[in-house]
Amino acid sequence: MLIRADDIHFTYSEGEKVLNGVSVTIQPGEKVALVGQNGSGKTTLARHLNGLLRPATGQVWIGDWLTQDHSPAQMARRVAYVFQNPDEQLFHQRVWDEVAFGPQNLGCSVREVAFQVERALDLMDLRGASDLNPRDLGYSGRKRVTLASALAMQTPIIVFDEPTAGLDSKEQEQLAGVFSLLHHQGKTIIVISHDMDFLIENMDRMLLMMNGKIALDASARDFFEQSRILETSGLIAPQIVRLSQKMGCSQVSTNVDEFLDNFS
Amino acid sequence: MAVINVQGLTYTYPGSTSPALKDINFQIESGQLVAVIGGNEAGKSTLCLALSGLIPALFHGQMQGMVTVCGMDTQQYSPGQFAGQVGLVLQNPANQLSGMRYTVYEEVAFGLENLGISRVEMPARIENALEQVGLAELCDRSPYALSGGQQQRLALASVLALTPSVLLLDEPTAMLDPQGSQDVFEIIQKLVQAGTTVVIAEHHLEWIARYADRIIALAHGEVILDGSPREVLTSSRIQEAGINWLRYTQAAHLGIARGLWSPNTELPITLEQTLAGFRQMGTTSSTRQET
Repeated sequence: MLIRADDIHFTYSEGEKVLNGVSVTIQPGEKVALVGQNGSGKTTLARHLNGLLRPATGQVWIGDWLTQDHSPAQMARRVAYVFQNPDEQLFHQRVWDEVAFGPQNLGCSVREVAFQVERALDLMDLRGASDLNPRDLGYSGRKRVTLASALAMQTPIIVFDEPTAGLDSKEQEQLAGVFSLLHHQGKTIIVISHDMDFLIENMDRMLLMMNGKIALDASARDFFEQSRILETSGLIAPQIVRLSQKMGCSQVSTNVDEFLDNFS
Repeated sequence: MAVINVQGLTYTYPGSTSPALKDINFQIESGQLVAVIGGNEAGKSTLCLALSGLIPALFHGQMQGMVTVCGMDTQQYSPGQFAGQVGLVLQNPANQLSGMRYTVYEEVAFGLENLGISRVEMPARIENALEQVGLAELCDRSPYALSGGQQQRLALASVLALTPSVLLLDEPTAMLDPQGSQDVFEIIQKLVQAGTTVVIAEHHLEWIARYADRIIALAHGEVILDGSPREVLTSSRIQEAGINWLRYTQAAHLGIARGLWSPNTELPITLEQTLAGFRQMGTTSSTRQET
């Protein structure tokens, strides 16, 4: 499902302009990272995609829907959103109920709900936790519950706000596996993150936000070639990029194997 | 002198059947930066709570063994008595903010008021703490109108203002952008140079590799490794514990089989060490080709 934002502007009540003319088109099935400093407008832009926020001027299209014509509940059929902080999102007493909440609200049959919940719990390695209270899980456990809740919605587009924060290496690998599965299913994945080592290995396209605008839009490899703009935007290139640049490799590597190939 | 002393610490949360920490023993010297690493559920946050005295004071559960911090036994002193000496910054800033103050400035004042710091002394300490974390300009804003990263810095400022001699940080950079994380580690480094003892639970190994004096690795509530960053971060045992090596370490390790890294050179954990090792091998092999 195509996403299109046309010259959107947005200001919170406190007065500062957070989005200052953002235009972007995201094709179905793309894996897009939204990066930039704290306060650059990443989360604000992402919350325009599921209709939680509406632009002051400009338009956001999700497929043939204009976000301002649809309620957030309707938008939830097309765009799932995983918050940065799981505690903003959890409100059920049982993991199973938490994950079932989305599909139930979409009007899925009991059988369909059960199927989607079980599948999402399996993907996030939570099968053994289905009867527990999400509050009794650790931070990463609660985070995985919110990820499972989004997966169970079966939306064509999923937005993840800082999905790797607080996850350990094993859980990050598991998340990368889920991303690649979603990608094969043709879903659009949008990830807000500061974790450049994760992004370069898992995303195709990078959008850099600066002062409420998209300052750079490029493929992951081309993006990290531009070291000057990274420095001015407070980002630090992934380890493998810094290593290949300092070793004088002719092109930036996106993973360890590629670096060793380029180097030898 | 050991400022933190942990002996035979075993702790089980109320209602849980298995201990979150099992027979932990270590001492930390004053003025050191010690990182605690481990997969999730390994016991990092629990260890921070035990060092702050919140375990056993607020979390009842079952505690065996002894923890002393700045000479005070956590089972005999209350968290209030620790507060001036030991600062704890929690992983989730929402759990740390008082919820009782309208501005960032007042939030930092809250802890100082509770310690009974005089009103004359307060403004300088608040301004200095906000300056250090880069929030001085936002001092009149509501703590709840800040972004996640800004709230995380505010939580840090509130503790810095108390000038504790031991600072415990539970993943203080999880919500920060790379520049913000670097700023936090630079603040920490300055505190350590000025004699503060810092214990930090952290997932970002690159910062730890650069700044820590020592690393304690936990798995399933037990200490599995305790040593220098290079010793710990290149050990295969941390991979078994679910922590991946840095890309630098991975590149060098895979480079051995391809003749790009000497098996006699210790595996690297920083960019500089990695460059030096690859270059050294490059020079040796080109000399060999010439001769």
